[in-house]
Amino acid sequence: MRNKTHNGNVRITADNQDKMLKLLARTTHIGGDLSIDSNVHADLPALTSLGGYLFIHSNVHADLPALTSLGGYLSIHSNVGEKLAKYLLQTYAKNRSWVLGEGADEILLTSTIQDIEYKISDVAMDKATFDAIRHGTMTASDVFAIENTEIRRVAYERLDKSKMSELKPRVLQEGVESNGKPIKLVEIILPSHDKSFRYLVVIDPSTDREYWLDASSATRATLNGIKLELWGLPDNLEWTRMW
Amino acid sequence: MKLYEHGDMAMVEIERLPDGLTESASRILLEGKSNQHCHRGNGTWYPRVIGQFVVGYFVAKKTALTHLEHGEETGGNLKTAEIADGVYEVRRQSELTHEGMKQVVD
Repeated sequence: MRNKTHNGNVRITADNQDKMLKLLARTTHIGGDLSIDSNVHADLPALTSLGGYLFIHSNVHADLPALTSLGGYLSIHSNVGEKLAKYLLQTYAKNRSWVLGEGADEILLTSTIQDIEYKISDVAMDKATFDAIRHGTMTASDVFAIENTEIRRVAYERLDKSKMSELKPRVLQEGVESNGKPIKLVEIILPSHDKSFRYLVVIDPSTDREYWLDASSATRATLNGIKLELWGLPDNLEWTRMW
Repeated sequence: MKLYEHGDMAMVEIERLPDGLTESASRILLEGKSNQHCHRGNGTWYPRVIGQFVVGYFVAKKTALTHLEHGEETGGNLKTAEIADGVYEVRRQSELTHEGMKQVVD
């Protein structure tokens, strides 16, 4: 018979799930952390206790029907089912740190857990912003009022782009950076401020994500000049490499 | 003169280090607030905040910057970005708002 205790951390991935689930089928205790990666169907019917953290990533089906003890914090980004969600809530709402993603059970997302962080696409944000993004209730003006550029980026990615028309966007300049990525300067009008704002829209070379950076008070005429101005650099420099 | 963009961090080659710096044991040059993603570098790091942009100075020798998102895929969790040996001023990006400069917070 297999050993029922697994010492150390366990990470179940889409690639190793068959092997790991077979290995853990009768395991009752995992000494370290349990991390279940995205796109994994993980049934651990015998697991009753976990010494470390519980990470359940997005788009995971996790069935942990016997789990009654947890040592570390919880990071849950998928629906874990009402039974487990209620158990975790009743037992750990007040004595553990939590991270919840938008895929978590509604019972968790609407709870009054004390020590909690909300994340979308691995970006932490306050509950009001988190709810507005996941429910699609943000206006385009709301998005551009967000100060944190990473949260603004996530909110913009999730924004119904037909809402952008309320800001009357106007492309002032378009070009291509030395790495081949497009760059542009866009003017929008925020009704809440009743004035125009200029944003330098750049593509991150490593992730291909689009960032809107406020350049309303930039003084330079060229796109690269404005970009350099965002770092307080002189107008005449060329980038050696961008990542 | 070398000039690198590494997410919201820029590294500008300079001739020599300013006087009066203190080396840090840390290898974290900059850290995101909403995602805790760190810009790290295996070189000599001298943190010193000057004004809105400069966060410190860095001496690179066979240096690869590492970050969860910025750099080349190398098979591990972190991406790497190799920079030329030299002395660099490390700068943080700001936004230029109607109200003035605001450091990019990510």
